[in-house]
Amino acid sequence: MPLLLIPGLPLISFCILIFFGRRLGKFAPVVSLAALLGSFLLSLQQWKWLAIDLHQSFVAGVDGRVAEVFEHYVWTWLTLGDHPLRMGFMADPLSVVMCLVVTGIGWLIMLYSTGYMKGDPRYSRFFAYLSLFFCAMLTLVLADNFLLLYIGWEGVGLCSYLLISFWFEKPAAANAGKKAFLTTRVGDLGLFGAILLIAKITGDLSFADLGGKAALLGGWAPVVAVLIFWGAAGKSAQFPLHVWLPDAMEGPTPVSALIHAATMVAAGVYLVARTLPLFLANAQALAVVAAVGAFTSLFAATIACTQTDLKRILAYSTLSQLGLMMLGLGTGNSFAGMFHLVTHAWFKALLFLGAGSVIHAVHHQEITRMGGLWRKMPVTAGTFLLASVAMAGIPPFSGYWSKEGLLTAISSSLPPVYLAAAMLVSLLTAFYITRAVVLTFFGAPREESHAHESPAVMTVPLMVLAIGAAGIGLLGSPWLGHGMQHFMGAEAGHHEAPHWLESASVLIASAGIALALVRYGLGWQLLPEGLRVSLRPLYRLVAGKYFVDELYELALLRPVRWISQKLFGFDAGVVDGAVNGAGEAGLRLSRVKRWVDEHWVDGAVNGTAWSAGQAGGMLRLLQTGLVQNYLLVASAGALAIFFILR
Amino acid sequence: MIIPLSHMLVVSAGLFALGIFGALTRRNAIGILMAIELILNSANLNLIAFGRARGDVGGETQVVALIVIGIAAAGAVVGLALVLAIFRHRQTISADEIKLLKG
Repeated sequence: MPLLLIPGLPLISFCILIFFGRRLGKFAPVVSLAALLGSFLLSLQQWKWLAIDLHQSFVAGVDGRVAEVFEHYVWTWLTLGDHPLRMGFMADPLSVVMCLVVTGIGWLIMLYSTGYMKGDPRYSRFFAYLSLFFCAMLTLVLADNFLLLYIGWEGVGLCSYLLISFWFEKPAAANAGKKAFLTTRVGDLGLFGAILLIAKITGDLSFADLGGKAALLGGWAPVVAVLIFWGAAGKSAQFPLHVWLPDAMEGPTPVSALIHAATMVAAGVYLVARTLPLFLANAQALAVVAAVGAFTSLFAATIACTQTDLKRILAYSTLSQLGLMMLGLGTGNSFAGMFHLVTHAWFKALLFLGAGSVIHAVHHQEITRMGGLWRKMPVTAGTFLLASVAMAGIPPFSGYWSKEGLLTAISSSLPPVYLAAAMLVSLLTAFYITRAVVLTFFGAPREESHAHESPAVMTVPLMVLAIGAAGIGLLGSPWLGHGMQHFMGAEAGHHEAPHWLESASVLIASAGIALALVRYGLGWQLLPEGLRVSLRPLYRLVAGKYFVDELYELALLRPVRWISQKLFGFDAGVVDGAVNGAGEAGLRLSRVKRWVDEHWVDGAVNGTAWSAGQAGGMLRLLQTGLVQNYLLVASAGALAIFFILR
Repeated sequence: MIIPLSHMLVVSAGLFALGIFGALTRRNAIGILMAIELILNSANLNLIAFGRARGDVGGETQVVALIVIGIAAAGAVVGLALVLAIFRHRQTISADEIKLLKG
């Protein structure tokens, strides 16, 4: 039952805020914060139970995984024929870790939003939407079957739409919301198809025994796995469905931090991790995951190096890191991807909130117009720097440990080309994040601004997140005995990485940082003039985001628009013509009918009345009113009867 | 002296004819009422004559005739009241001029 309350509390909060939020005014966040704190504490309790369970099975000498007894709440939703449709929540290690990430980071971001959104006319509605988002996300995470997961999945998509276009007065925000909704919907179609196939072939939608289901699916298994991945790619913004995420930065910054960096986009990674047995059953599907992940990661990292909008840099960096997580899952080791998801959630939320703090102060997002901000906003600068270092993968911060895990998994189970791609991504990551930090916070101010440090309600979450971003990775490090790996049932240290890997990754990250420092800190040109000129088209290609949006415009939107114009023409000419023609014909026919009615039908009716009137006129002559007339007639009649009957 | 039945029937028929004639020809409403009384009395006469002819000695038929007379008196009262009411309204009792029910 407490399990039901984890998504239930935010739902209650949503109901209160959507109906009474306006009356609560500036106290609205208190409700949502309290509800989410409750969810967080309940998740913590679940974690504690699981940890005790793990400890006991360890003491009892049971090998490997945590005993499969965990909180599991099931009920029958409805019965179709003799197929009961079961719904259920379950708290296994995977979902509990996700729950803690979502509610923990979510709570800090919500606290931050109370400061960031201050003075917004729809203040309480923002927190209502956030509450609904948490309800949907926690439902997704705790679901024990595909159907409930899909419900949460769609709920999350809806909230994403509502929150991206929260400032719907801005056309860009409204369009970005629409784009996000439609693009993820294309992905959802894949997941939906996969669910239909699983329901049709196996008749059971629960997550139990996915390996057995994969065997039942037989030839359909790769199709189902790829369809699930297609859905995950939509939500986690993998190529080619990545186009919505950078545009989603039009939403309020806490939304970007919460949904488009820390939690919601992780839903796709979570889905793949959850259904990994389906992928493990066939190598092709796993290869697709790895390939798309690696490609997206590299693709987005190069774009991030060329952007000048602070939030867009972070958006492409998110794409790139999500790609890395997918690549990690593509090794068949769910822990590698999930661990990176957890650490990424912390440092990326921190980066976004730091960016929000900067934008709050300078009122624009162009890093080329910033500079020297560290003096004016030391807390923001310090925490941002820490998160950057964590993301770049410098030990002992969190990003280092998870990236280490990823690289180890990749080197041991995938071809070397993937390792090279991951290495290149970590070089680029270090480069672009250092570039952003240097241009934003250091050097001489490039523009007069009256920037100032944000209020405490915004900086305190930054500091708490900074602690997480620095230290969360230690949970999975050898220093703490691979605690997280044990908790999630991953075999720690199973894959032996080559010794050079560790130092190589640190070296590469440092190289990236150094390059960016030399180029943007000292202002040296790294490449000779001639090479730069010849590379300019390439730069334009990357800075234009490989023109994927334009390609979609050309290949999809134009034809659709052309077809719809033709269809409109058909509609206006033929269909409207037919409808109007039918109307015209009806009008003509009714005129004829009216003539018939007036002349024939009315004639008959009036004729009947007229003849009755005439007959009456004749008969009324008999009615003289003279009593003696009547008497005479009566007497004559009596006489006549007398003579007839005689 | 015994008066034969036929004589009485002739007198009765004569009274009846007078009554009908009066009722059809009089213009005065009171005259018409009086003529109707004649008709009723001719009927009474007929009744008693037939009663005697069938050997009624106890006078049962005569009682019926008395009832007819009483009812005729009551009818005359109603008729006269109507005539009075009409006179008050229209200042006339001529049957020619009273034709409210003309179609």
